[in-house]
Amino acid sequence: MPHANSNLATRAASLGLAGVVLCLAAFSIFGAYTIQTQIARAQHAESLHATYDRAIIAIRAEHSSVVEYLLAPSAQRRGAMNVATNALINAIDEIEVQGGDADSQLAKEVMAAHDQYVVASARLMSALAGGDTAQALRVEFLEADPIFDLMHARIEDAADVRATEALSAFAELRSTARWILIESPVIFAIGFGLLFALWRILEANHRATRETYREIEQLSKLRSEFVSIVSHEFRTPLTGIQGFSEMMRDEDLTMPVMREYAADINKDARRLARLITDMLDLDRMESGRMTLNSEPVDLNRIVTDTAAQFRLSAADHPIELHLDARLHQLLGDSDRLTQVVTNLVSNAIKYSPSGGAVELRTERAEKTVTLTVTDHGMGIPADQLEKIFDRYSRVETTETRSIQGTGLGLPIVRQIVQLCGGKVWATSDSGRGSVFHVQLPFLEPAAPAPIAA
Amino acid sequence: MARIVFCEDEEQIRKLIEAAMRSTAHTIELTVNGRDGLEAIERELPELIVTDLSMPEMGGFALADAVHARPALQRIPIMFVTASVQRGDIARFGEHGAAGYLAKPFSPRALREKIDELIARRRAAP
Repeated sequence: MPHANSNLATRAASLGLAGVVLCLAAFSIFGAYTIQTQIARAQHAESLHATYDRAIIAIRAEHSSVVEYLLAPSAQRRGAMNVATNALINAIDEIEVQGGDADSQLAKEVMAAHDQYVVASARLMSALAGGDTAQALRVEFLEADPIFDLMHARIEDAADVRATEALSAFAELRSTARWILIESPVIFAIGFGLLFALWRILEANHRATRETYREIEQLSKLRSEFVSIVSHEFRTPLTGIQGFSEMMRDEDLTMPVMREYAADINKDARRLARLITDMLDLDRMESGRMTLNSEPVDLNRIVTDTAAQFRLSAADHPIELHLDARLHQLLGDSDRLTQVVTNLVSNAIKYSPSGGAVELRTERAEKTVTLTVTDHGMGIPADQLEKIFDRYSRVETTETRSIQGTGLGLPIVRQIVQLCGGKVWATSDSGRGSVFHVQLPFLEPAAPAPIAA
Repeated sequence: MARIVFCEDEEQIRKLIEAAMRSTAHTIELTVNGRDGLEAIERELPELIVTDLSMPEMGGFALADAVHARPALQRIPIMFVTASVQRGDIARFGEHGAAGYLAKPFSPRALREKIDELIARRRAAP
């Protein structure tokens, strides 16, 4: 599953990236095309406008040369008039070619008007040639001038329209360029940002899934290890119970042998019972379902009582007590503290050779109480000092294997001590004994209420 | 009667084996792990080896491999006695050349019968 997820995240991210790159490419092509088109349109509008301007200049030049000829006729003025006329015709032709329908319509109208103008100016010139100045002036004022005004106004109006068009084409081009240069990078930055965020979310999600998966895997592994260890731990005493009881049932045994087998069965049954109790205790502690009492407890008393019990059951191990007299009562759970001391002393005795002394020491500091249990047994290898507090992780050697235990004593000690807010650790000189240290917070019971006088 | 070497690290089970074998004519040698077992096997040249699987220092599989690696010992049948008999385990018994196996908890009678069966098969073999 985590693999599939990883692929999903990578695939989504690369798909997104490909999408963004494709968009970028499409956008660039579209942008370049748009700008190209708009530049062409603006240039065309501008050039058309310039042609109109030329037409205006030409028509004005033509008319002024006609008027000047009227005032003082000369061949030179006649020539200038012809040049202006040609320039005007050229410009109008160009307008017709360059422009659209409206422009060619205008060109036709202007050319038609211009034909009349040419006729009028010809008549004007022939009147002048005939010396009839009054007639020439009349033609000028009543015919040529109005035609000129009409043409001039038509062209100027159209030129204004073209100028506006050119301006708006340039404005459009400017806005497109600004969009592409400024706004599109911003949009793409946002796009990339979103993509990056998406990728991060998928990544985080995937990491969380992988984490959960690993935890579940770990739990399931722990569970199956637990089942296999438990089944092994249970089968060993069960083998004794089944085997010895079967022999008692099927064989002719003497009373002493019968008694011996019964004792063996009893021993194995008690081992099973202890195993079950320890397992349940540990399970309750680890799952946080065990609550500790908080009552005034005399730790020295607990140590003394426990030592007394072991002196009965393990008489060959001398137990020495070094108790701190300053240690009065503290707040704690009497039963659970007894369990701690019992488990530690029981371990100390189990892992000591016969006759090996065990020392119990209590010590009060300002805010803590320390209990140490010292033995002179086989000791603990340095790399095992932490592991011995894990479930079922007894140090496995032939020496220790002959020592019976559930493998749960120390884990229970650690759980209780931790529930009390303390800590437990071991130090050891391998081969020369071990010391178990339990440090508990010193919680003083509330002072008893003063007795009323 | 036959000589048999047992390897078992649990004291209670060694005691049970000893009690179960008391009524038979076999001579038994009890050892606490594979290493001690191998020493006893080389010394005694038994007709059968019965071993636990998980033991400190040298487990049952390592012992079986060591026995099969020694030409003088490799024809001695080996029986595994173990607390974990699951499908995968039985296949592994075969890989380590087991002649038979017995699951814990076992009945003393079943142990004796299995031992007799393996010894008879061993003696019948050419």
